[in-house]
Amino acid sequence: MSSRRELLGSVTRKALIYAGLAVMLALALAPIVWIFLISLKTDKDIIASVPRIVFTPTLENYKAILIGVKSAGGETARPEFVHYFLNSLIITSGAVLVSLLAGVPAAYALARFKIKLKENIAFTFLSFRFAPEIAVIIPIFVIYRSLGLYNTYVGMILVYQLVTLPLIIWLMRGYFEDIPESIEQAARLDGYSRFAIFRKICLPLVKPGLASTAILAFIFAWNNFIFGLVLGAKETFPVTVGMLGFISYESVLWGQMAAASMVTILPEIVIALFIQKYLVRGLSFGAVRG
Amino acid sequence: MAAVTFAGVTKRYGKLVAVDRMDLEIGPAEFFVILGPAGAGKTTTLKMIARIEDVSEGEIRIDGERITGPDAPEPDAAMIFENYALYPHLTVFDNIAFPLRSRRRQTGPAEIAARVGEIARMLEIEGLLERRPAELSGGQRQRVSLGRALVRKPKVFLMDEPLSHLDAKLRHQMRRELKKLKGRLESAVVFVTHDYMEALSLADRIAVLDKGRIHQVGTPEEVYTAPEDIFVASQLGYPRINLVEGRVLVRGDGLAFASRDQALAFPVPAKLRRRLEELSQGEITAGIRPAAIGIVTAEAPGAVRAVRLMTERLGNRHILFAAVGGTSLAVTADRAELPEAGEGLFLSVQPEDVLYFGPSGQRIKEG
Repeated sequence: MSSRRELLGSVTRKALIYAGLAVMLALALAPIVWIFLISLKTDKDIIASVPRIVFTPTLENYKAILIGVKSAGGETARPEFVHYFLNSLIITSGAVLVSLLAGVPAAYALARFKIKLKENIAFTFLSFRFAPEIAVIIPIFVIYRSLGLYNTYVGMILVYQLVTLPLIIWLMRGYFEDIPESIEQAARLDGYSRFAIFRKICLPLVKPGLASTAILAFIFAWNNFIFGLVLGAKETFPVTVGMLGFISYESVLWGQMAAASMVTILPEIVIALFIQKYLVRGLSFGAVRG
Repeated sequence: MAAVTFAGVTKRYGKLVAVDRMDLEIGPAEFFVILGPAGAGKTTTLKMIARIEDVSEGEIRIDGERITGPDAPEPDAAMIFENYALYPHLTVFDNIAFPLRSRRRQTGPAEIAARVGEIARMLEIEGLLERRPAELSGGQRQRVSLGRALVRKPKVFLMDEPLSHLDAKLRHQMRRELKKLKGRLESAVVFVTHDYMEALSLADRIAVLDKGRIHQVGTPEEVYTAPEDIFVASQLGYPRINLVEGRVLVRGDGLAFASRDQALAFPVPAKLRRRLEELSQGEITAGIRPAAIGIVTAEAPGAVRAVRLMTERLGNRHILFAAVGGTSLAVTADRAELPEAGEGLFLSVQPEDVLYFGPSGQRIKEG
């Protein structure tokens, strides 16, 4: 009797959980689905006052942003999109790479070395994430103008460190701290230098964590908007800023903008599929514990 | 020359003194066990030899060479960690080969293969060489960590409670294997444990440590039968040695020890007489090992009536907890000796086996 009620209870609970998940999924995916539909519509279908779910799909918008369209009455071609996309790739990959090179050793040092004011140093890195970017952008702009970093890839990669470096330092520090110290002590007694231990023991052990951290940093940097807007120009605009080009005085090219959005989130979706595998694996390496 | 020498070694963590002015000499090829309760400073002592921890004062030498201080060379010691500390991302082969591949040793691949193979044969882990630590059982991991230490042929082996994470059966098996191995080692072993059975069974000499201070260093025999003080006596043996407070009385033409309420009394051996007479007015403590108490009949000489409190039945051997007046005693007994419940229980103490401790806790020796 009671077991039956329990069974019923567990079934209702499961149903509720799935219902909740379905609502969340719908909320998260609805905008993406909507934009995807727009990207396949003609201008006429897009501005139809009753939105159409059923329509004849077209790839014209994708063609326009990726290849460009022969001018057939005014400015329709936007081939700059490809350029902006490459800019985003260069800046984001560059920023993540620089952050890894500087941040991973820093994270190790903060996890293991006895450094004076260690916690304060670590906190300072974290505090880069406190202030909204818009609050610091004007002084950075002035500095960039006088240093000649304005509208350069180097400048962009440097300023993106504000996004990626704290993330990498803080997440990687945790992964390094999870390695039992006795493993490093064993390696030292086995005749290895501190650097050799870092390279041969610690780095291989944090590899799954390193991958997921790098991917997260990539996504954060990829989505950044304000740094590109203020500190870049046409030559270095990332795709997030470049997208604004679809809005002009005369019209908004909704269809192409939607197509550009879809292409822009593509790398993130691919990467997110990777991250899932790694995030689950994390450092659950198993053998670390005794 | 001594393999390891401690001269006035002190280790402080802030205000806490973990190791207090330790002097120690460990001989070459000696199996030296440091025994003590949790927090005694055992592992700290090991880590100072390995230079994982720096000494606060004093110096440590390995084979006469100073290994403490800022300019000292790295100690030639291999450590076996409580949690094995294997490299999880390397195979068993690579784990054992790891020390040979260091820049310091730079062994060629042919020699590495030969030496790892030899060690693997010795430890019977040849079939596991391609596995990773995660795929091994606790006992197998312990063998691998042993192999990683053995392959280097260091001057000193440091073992930090290596058997404590194994289940009882495996622990006994590994203990026997360590004993077998002991004969083949040419280096000194410093072995840390809180298990007195491990210490007695493996050690050439034992140091009993508490709160950073060495209470006694001696052979297993010495430490067990002639403990320096109450602490050492109570660290070795299960059930724990019975400690009875009381005083020495003149009885007839000899001396006798009597518990406070005088319910338990037995003669004092003649050889201790002189020293005990000096203390005859003060309170002293008698240490009676459970095996030194016999279950006897009422007519037997020295028999005292006891009340049975509890019996712990361990197959053939039983532990009987009984009270004589206000004194509770643990007694080990064979099954056959144990009287039926309801029958009277009489105990007798073997006077020659009793240890006496003065007011400061030091054992009163003959002389």
